[in-house]
Amino acid sequence: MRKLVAALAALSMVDSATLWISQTAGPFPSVVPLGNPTAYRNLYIHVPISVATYLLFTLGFALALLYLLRGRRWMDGAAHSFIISGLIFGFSTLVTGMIWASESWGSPWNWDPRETGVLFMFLAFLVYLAVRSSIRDPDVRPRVSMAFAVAAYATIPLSFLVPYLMPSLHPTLPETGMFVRGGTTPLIFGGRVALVSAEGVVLALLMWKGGAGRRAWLATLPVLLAGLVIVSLQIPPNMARERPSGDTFKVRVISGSLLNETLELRVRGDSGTYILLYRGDPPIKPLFVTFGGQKRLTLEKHWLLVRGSVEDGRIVASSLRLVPYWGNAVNSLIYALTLLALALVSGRVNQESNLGLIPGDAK
Amino acid sequence: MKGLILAAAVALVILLVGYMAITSSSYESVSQLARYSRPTVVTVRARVADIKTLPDRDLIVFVLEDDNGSRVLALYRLTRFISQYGAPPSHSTVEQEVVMRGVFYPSRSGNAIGRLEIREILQGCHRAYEAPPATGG
Repeated sequence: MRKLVAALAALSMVDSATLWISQTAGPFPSVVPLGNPTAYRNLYIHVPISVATYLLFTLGFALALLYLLRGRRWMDGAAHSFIISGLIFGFSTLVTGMIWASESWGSPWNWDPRETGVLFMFLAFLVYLAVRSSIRDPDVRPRVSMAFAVAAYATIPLSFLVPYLMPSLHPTLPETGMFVRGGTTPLIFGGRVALVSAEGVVLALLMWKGGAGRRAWLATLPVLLAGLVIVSLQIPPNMARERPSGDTFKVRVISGSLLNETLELRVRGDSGTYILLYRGDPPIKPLFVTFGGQKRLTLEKHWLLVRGSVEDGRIVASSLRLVPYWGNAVNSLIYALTLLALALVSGRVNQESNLGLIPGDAK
Repeated sequence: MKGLILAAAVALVILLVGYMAITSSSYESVSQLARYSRPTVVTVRARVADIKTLPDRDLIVFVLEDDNGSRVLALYRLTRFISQYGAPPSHSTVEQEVVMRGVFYPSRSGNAIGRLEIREILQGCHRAYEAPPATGG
C-alpha cells in the first residue's frame, strides 16, 4: 500500500508539471477549421483521459473474464475496482470532450457516432453497477456482475472503431498521429497519455486494496494545484472586454500581414473590425505556414489580449498575448478533480468485496 | 461456463443495441432527406457546392450537394456566423464538406429538394491535424 501511495505521489508530481507545460507551451495546430486554435491543447487532457478509460475498462474486463474462468474472489474485487475507476474516468472523458467540442466542432453534443458510442459504453458500465448493487447474495453477485462486465466490454471496440467505419467528427488514430509526430509534441502527448493511464491504474489498485485514506488524496494534490494555477492564469484573459478602449482589451484576428517588421492585423472587437499595428515579437511561432498550397497567418481565429491605445481608429499595440481557450483551464481542473474523486472514493467502494480476499491475505 | 454463456449472450444484445444506437445517430446525406414529407430535425453531411452571402438580409445560403446532384439550400444568420468564426464565410472558414444540424423543410424546386434552417454548423477536426504545429502564449 505504501509503495502504491508513493508511486501515486511521484506520478502526480510529474503529471502536474506536464499538465502545466502542455497548457502553457504545448503545440497546437496552426490552422484549424473552427474556434480558438489553442482549444486543441485539449489533446493533452481529453485524449489521455479517454485512453486511460479504455485501459481501465480493458483491465477490468480481463480480470472479470479470469474470474469467470477460474473463480478466484480477489479477481472479482480487482475487476470491480478497475471498472469503477473506468466509470469515473469515462465521465471525465465525456465532460472534457463536450467542453472541447463546444469550441472546435461548434456544439458541445452532436450525437457524433464516437460520442454516442462512448456514452453507450458509459451507460453499459453504469448498468453493470446497478446489476451488482441489486444482487444481495454474496455468491451470486460476483458471478452475475462479472458476466455482465465481460458483456459490457462489447461497447469498447464498438466505440473505438466507429470513426473507422462511418463518417465522424472524431479523427482516427492515423489522423491524430499526423499532428503528433514532430518537435516536442510526441514527448508531451506521449508523456501525458502514459502518466494519466499510470495514475488511473495506481488509483484502481489502491481502491482494490481498500484505499489509503487521506494519504491517497494528498498524493493527488499537486495535479489539483496545477489545475488551479492554470485556471487562475487562463480564465481572466478570457474575461477581458472586447471593446478596444482603455489599456487592455481582447480582439479576434481575421487576417493580417507583416510589412517592414510591423504586423498589420485586421481584427474584430465587439463593435466592428479594426486595423491593429504591432512591432515586436509575435505571440505565436511560426507566424506564417504554408498549408493546402496557401501561405496562412497562424494568428487567424486567435483571440489576442492587447495592451495599447486606439489612435485615429487604429489600434497601436504595445504588447500582444494569445488568449487561451477557457475550456482548457476548466478541463485541467476537471482532470485534477477526477483524480481527487477517485482517491476519495477509493477506500469506500470495495471494502466488502475485499475482506480477506486480496492475494496473500488469508482466504 | 454458465457465466461465460450468459456474458456472450448479453454481449450480443449490447452489440446489437449499440450498433443500432450509433448508426441511427449517424449523419444523413442530402438525397436521404428526400424521404421526409414534413419539417424534420436532421443532421446532414454534405459537400458545399456554393456559398452566397446576403448582408442586407443577414443571411448566408449554403448550397449543399450530393454525389447524385441532389441539392439543399441551407440558411444561417450572417451575424451569428461572424461571431463564431470571426469573419464572413470563405475557404478559410468553411471546409468543402460540412455537417449541419437543423430543421429540414421539404419543397422541391429545380435540383433543390428543400431548405435547411441551420441550428448548428459542425466541423470535424481532421484537417487541423494535417496543419503544422504552432506554439505561443
